[in-house]
Amino acid sequence: MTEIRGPLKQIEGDRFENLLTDEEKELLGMLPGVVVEAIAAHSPYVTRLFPPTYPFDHTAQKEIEDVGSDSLAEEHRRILEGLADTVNKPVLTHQDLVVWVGAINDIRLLIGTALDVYEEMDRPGEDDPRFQDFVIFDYLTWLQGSLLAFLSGQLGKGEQS
Amino acid sequence: MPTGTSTEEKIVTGSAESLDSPWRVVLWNDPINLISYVIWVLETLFGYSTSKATALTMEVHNNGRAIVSHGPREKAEMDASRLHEKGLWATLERESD
Repeated sequence: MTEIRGPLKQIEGDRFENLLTDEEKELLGMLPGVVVEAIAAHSPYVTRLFPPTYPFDHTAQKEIEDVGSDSLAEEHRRILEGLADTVNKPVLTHQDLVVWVGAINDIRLLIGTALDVYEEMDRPGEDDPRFQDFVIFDYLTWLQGSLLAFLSGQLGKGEQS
Repeated sequence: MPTGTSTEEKIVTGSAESLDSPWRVVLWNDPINLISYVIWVLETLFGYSTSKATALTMEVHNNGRAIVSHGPREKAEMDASRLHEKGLWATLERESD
């Protein structure tokens, strides 16, 4: 039999024991930097992190970008670096989980855009060069869903399985 | 969230005379964001009940879009900005459109 271990265990109130493996922590400590670098390089894969407010009005869109695009980029960097900074904490708070969920979403948006993910998309075989990226994407999907369950209080008591 | 969302709709004009007219914040479907994430964002950002956030999210999921907020242009832009910070795809349109 194989024990399926969840990412967290609620200790008390808004405190959660971090049950991620060293391999998961290493991955989650590395990926935020990839997205931050992609933002700085204006990679086409970060377009979903900067959606237009006025997609068919270039004048209005430019006006709002002039005011807000830097602060939006800064907000993305803040939560991404927040994940990297806290991934090795043995005990996490509710606010840590909020940051993690947002950062993981940003990472999924970048990877999902790069992989051109669509709904109910078949996964490639192991011989496909994209295989490992899909494994990471699907892991992040599972992790984000698990964290959201804790934040929503659905699985907030005891170890998830 | 399913794919197949059309953005070929008339979204907005940003003319100066429209500053005082009410605006709608439209949330669009995308294939990456989780349904549970969108519900949680609508609950936490706008204080919507779980039932209201779920209904709006399922409207996005099934119809490709939903109006999640409305008000003066400045407020609508702020709401869209907050959704963008969470990685959601929001646009503005005038209520008169």
